[in-house]
Amino acid sequence: MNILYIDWPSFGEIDAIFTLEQLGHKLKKFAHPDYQKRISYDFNEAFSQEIEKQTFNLCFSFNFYPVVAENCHRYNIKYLSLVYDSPYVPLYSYTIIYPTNFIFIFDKQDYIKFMKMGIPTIYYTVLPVNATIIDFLKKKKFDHQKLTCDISFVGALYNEHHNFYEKLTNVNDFTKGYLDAITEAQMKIYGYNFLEEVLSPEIVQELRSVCDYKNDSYGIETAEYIYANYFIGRKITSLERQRTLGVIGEKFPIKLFTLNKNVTIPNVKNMGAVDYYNEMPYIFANSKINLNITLKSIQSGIPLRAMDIMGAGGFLLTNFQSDFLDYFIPNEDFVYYVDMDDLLAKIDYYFEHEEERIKIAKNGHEKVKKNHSFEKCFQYMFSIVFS
Amino acid sequence: MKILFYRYGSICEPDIIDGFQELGHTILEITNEITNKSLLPQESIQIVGQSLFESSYDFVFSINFFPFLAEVCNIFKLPYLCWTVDSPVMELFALSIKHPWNRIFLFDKEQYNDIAPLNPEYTFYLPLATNVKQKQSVIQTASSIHHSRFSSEVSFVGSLYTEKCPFDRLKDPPQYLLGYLNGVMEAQLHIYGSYIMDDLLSDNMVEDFKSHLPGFFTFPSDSFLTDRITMSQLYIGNKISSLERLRIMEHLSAQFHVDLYTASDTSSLPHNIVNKGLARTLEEMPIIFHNSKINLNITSKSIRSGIPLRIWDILACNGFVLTNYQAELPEYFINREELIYYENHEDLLEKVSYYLYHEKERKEIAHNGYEKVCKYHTYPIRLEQMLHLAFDRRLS
Repeated sequence: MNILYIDWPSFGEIDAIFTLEQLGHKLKKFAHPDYQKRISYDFNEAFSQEIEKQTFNLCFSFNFYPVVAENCHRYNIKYLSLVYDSPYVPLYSYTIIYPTNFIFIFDKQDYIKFMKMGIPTIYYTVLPVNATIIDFLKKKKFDHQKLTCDISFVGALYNEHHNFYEKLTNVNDFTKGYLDAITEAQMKIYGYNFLEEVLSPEIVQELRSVCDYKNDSYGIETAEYIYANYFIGRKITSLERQRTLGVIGEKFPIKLFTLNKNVTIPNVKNMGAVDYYNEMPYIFANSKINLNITLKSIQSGIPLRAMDIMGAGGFLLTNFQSDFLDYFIPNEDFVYYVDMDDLLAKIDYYFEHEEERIKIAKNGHEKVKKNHSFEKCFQYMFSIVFS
Repeated sequence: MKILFYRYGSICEPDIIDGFQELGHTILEITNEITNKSLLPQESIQIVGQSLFESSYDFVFSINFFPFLAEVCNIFKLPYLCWTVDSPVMELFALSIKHPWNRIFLFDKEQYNDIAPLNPEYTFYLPLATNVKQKQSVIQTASSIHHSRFSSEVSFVGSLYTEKCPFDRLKDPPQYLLGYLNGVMEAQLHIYGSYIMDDLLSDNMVEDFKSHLPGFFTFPSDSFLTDRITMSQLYIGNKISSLERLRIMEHLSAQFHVDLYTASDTSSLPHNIVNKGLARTLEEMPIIFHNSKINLNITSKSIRSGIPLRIWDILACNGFVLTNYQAELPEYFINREELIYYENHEDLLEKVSYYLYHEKERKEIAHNGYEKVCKYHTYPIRLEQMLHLAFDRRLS
């Protein structure tokens, strides 16, 4: 079929295009600078021109874009989107209810939330991963010294200057205490995110007086959602990642790969940024233990990073996320930890038990190769779109 | 065996006496403190000492822990068995907890984790139990007037902690501290099955809190009690319980007819909550539990993992229990078969609404729970376990 492919610099682009073409589809790439805007006449104009040239059976994008949904709705084209970001505020756009939409998200608890809200256009899928490319990469030369690790962590620390949380510096002391408290409490609790629920009206009012979130009236996202996920959730993730790495660093050798190469955490070797395609898979394949510390706004979902690790045949040690249990067997395909003591004990154990570690990495790799390839994922999504 | 039972008026004392007697033991009761709450330790020591001189006993027993009893028994070289039914029990932190004649039984694993390091050899975990025979005989002999007087759709027997809230004495606290405390309490209200408060209070906060709380509880003598434990369990635990119970009552009463058996002031609550006053433990409570379509259990937050007495007693009355989740519940009961957990306030409302109109399921669940406690969790069974742990351990 003819697929209009919304072209923007996303993860997975190469794999998605390759897979769709392999499946025999004809892709027309469509790029426009306004793709992130909620309303754009320029975009509409360009989209119309494209549609008039040719008939499309489907429009696809990674993540979901209201302006695309608007146009697909107007021309009655099915719009399939696969959302890998979280939090993701466009999901609260009024446009999500258009019957032309087929929006796949990877967080089951979020999916259930939308279902309870009566939104019929949102579906759930595990994110896909290219689990065969590693075999090809392994044949090439790579920087062993940089990319071989005992323990690795690849990810953002969310502590850059001018981050969202810093904008809240001037709230009153009561609110400051309140935010610190819910941050510390949330850090102790795995598998349940209560931030949105504990933001009382008084606290939200104070946050708004210092750094207002204005709903642009194109969507139903609440201020609670924005503050909990974009401000506080990231702050917690930042603290959690730094503390976790620091605690590990005291006992074990660990390398951090992150955008900001100036960040220092005692006993943690900051290796700076890595390339997603050309370097990251080597890290996962050549670390004894690959750590995943999920961003707090992901409630139960398996984040892309965890799939990347298993896709590269790496041994995955992750914080607990309940969606894992639907597709993977703990201690057979991957290992999860429930708190800091547990994490250290498991690192210790799997350093000692190499054979077991290698077996688990292999099982995880086989499982994602078999069940979570791009091909399988697209076939699954198509089966719903065209059922 | 011959047991000297020191009583202070806990509601489970009569049931435990029945239990010991059923096992064939002889009990002598000291009851002065039940009626005279201002009894001085010195006077109590005298009374107990006198009893011990007059007759010989195999051990002394009490509910919760009385440091003076531990002292007396240590002098007499007589075992002192005690069993907690509450939390927090500040007396457990007395120096006399370490005496080798103590046999300390704690109903909550978290409480056990606090205390066991102080006397590892003689501290034991022992869940509570219930007196099925007594409850059933009250239910069966109650008049029809009684039965109809104590019938409810949804009932809750217990304090709202509104009058027990020493936290409210907090005076001019710094705004940051007040905000922090509000934040941690709000978070804890959303977390079931784990009490995370102790880890969330820094030393500075504890100091700050203490200095703004006139009459902050400190032990009359040297003890193992830390200000952090006092702040977390005594002050904040109570405050959260009171917030939680008030909120639940407000939510529930908006949709359902709720009867409350409490001595607490309920004037601030919506009018469709009926405060039926304090229930008489022996004569009335079993009928209430038996005749309520739904018996609520909202465990006090300072009981951090254990199963409160109320649950055992409701089940002994063949009553249907809808409870918050407590970490130890799955060890003894099967959710949805013998009782029901609610996971949050929204879930509570949904479950009340469901089970009010599903009588058959409700009765089946209550009956399964009843059978479970009859078979495994009566006082004679539990007290036998207690005596075994206290006396026979080394033989086995």
